[in-house]
Amino acid sequence: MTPSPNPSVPRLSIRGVSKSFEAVRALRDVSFDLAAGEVHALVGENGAGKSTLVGIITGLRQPDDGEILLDGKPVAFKNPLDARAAGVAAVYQDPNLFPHLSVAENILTGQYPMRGPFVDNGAMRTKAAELLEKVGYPLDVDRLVAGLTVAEAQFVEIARALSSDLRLLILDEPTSALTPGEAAKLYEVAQRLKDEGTTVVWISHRMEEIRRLSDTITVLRDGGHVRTAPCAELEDDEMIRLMVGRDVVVETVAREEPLGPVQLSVRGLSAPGMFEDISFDLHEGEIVGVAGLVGSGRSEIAQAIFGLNSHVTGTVEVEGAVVKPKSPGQMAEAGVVYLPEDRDAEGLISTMTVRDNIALTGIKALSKLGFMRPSSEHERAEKQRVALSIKGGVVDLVSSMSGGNRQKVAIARWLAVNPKVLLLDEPTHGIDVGTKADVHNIMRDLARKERKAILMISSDLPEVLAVSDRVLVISRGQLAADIDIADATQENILAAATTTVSKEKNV
Amino acid sequence: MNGTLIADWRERLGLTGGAAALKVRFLGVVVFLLLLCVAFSILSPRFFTFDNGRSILFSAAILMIAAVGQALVVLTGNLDLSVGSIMGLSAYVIYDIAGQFVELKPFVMVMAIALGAVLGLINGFLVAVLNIPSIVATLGTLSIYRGFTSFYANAQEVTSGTLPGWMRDLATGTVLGLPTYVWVAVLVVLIVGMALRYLPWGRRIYAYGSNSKAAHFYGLNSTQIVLGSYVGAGIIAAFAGVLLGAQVGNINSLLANGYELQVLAAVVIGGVSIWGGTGSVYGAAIGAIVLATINNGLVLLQVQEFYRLLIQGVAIVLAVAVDAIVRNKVQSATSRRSITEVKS
Repeated sequence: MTPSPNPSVPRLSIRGVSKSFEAVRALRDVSFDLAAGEVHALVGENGAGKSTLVGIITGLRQPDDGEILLDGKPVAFKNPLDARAAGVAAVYQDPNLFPHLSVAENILTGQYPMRGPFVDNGAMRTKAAELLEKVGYPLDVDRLVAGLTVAEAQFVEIARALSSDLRLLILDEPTSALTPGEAAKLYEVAQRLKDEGTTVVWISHRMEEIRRLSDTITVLRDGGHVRTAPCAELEDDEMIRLMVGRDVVVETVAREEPLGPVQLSVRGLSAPGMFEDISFDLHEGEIVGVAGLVGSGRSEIAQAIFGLNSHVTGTVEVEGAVVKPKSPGQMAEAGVVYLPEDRDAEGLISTMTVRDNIALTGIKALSKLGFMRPSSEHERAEKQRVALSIKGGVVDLVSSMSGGNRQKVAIARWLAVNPKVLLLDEPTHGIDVGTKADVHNIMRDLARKERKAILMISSDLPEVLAVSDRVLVISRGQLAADIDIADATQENILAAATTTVSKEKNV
Repeated sequence: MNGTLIADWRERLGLTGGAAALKVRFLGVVVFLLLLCVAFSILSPRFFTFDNGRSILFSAAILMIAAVGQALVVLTGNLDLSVGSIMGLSAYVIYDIAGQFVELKPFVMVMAIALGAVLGLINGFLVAVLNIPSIVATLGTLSIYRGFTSFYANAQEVTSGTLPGWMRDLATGTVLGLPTYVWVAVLVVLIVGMALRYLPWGRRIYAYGSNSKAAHFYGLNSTQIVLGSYVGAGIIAAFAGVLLGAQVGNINSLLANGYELQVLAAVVIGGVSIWGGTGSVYGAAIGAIVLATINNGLVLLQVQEFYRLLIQGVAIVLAVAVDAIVRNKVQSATSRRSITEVKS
């Protein structure tokens, strides 16, 4: 049982917590309470600040401002071990296990049972088995984690978080990789912990499980606290409205030009464990937005079309000709280019100049007898710089430029090969509002004037609505909806993104 | 159905996906050693004799010890290129002192260990605190330690005459029919092997090497872990250096020059993944025996030196290639990107 000296004292009080990463304000003055022995759902869009808040509660990150009270006493954990010692544990969304070690070692690393100066292996195995029993998922504790299924690994992580006096357990999208049967087991664990007096923070995008489990719901948006209310008082529609309802105005410009013929046609594209049976057409002059939660398989689809995944089945046609995506080089030649989300790590070579980056995609075209010709390199870069109004000169280092300008360089790099189809992954992620509009205009110009076909993956729903002609919604690797822009709303996109295709919609 | 039966059986033995690949890796070294022995036995009648076996083990002994130290560092995903220089520096300095202050007796061994710990600490500081890539940091200390030895030696040799008598006896003696050094090597392998298994220090080395990001989330102190592995490696290298010195007799400033390549080869052939997290000191020790066996067998066959290098090189590349395959298996098995509901 968990000590709860006074039932009126909240288990956890978050008071005015703020956190910035460089210029990005991840959390702004967030305050709310969590009662003892409740399941508290924490909801919000991608980037709302949920993970940052979890990191601060568990001591993984330090807040810039504000304080946290556990059972009425201020706490400031220096690291997750500190937090654990005080009965606060979290299971994160990312895999955080040691693949080469056994299940028992994974569960008890950092708190080995000791016999004198030595690790007591027998006690470690017994303790691990007990904890797995407690989560209702017995496993052979000697197995290596590398051989576990995703669900098994998930339960190992949860077993790890349990300890005798657990006061607060945070589960960050714990069911995102589980089958319904496995998820049901997890609901039981949450219920049992709650009955024992533990407060469970449940972060999820799934309405049905939030409804089923939670007593209280807290909505975060853009790093700020929006509302905390008992589950019964917050309707689904209202919750979604609170999650998305931001006042950033994104300009919409109606399309006047007609669409051209199909440029990219994808039929039955599947990759085991990532996405299944994806089919869609992309027309000349069209911008198709791809919405869906992070991890739903959106990026993987675009990467597969660009030849970055060799295990895909299905057909891809470019301008009516069947192309088998084998490598990015081959797809670029066929007229399909992809701009990765993490442009600094994957999209650009930031230690080179703007000119060299743009020249990189056309080394063959720009060289004569095997030598690069500086004059044509310069010409090509200058042309793109003017066309996309990149601030700065073509000999500036990419690393010295702002996010928005870097994104322009990344786009310019591919435009220089004159592609037919552009696959853009989160093209405005981490870009300030002003430049965002610039990038939107560039996309519109490319589609409407240059007659390119654009597939834009975005987590920013207002952006999807403002820029797209049509919206594809991906949910757990499947195409959940194909909505014409005239019928699309943030609500119906989010509803499609949070339901499972095979099941009935219950949102 | 037969297929599901086999799958079930594989599942029970933990032989699914990445786990299977990891388990097979250690066996691979042992099988490779056995194959070598069989091949040499067929090719040379003089190979499979007790005397020759003893000579292989004797020539492997010091390499085994040094490989155990290197394994500690490689398990964290780092390298220690300065191992040969630490051996040389320790041997020279310690025997110089032992010759001048005879009354210290075996206490000089404690000094050697302390010296090794300091040299390891310097490596660890560069890698863990200053975050210098280990290959560069220890390439630097390789030169620095060797340079210091030359400076200290001032072109003088420490000759076997000044070595303490007990040290010389240890180098040439036998216990129960095997050279003393072989027993010492076995002892070191066992002690470090047990320490890795039974001390939190050892468990943390494996954990950090397996997934350093997870180690951070578990609240483990990464700096401490890497420092600890380098200090351990430094101590063991200094110890190995002192043993090598007594074996060689006349110690100059170039003792164990270039030894790091042999040591790394032993560790890698022995199945310690160059990416960290997996492998054992037992494997590293067997890797050292593999190298000694190759040398011995080829000498018996009167094969020229370049063949020996060729075969040794092939063994290294093969070992790392196998590790790369295993690593890919493990990664795909533990990748959380799979969306199970799509499959079901």
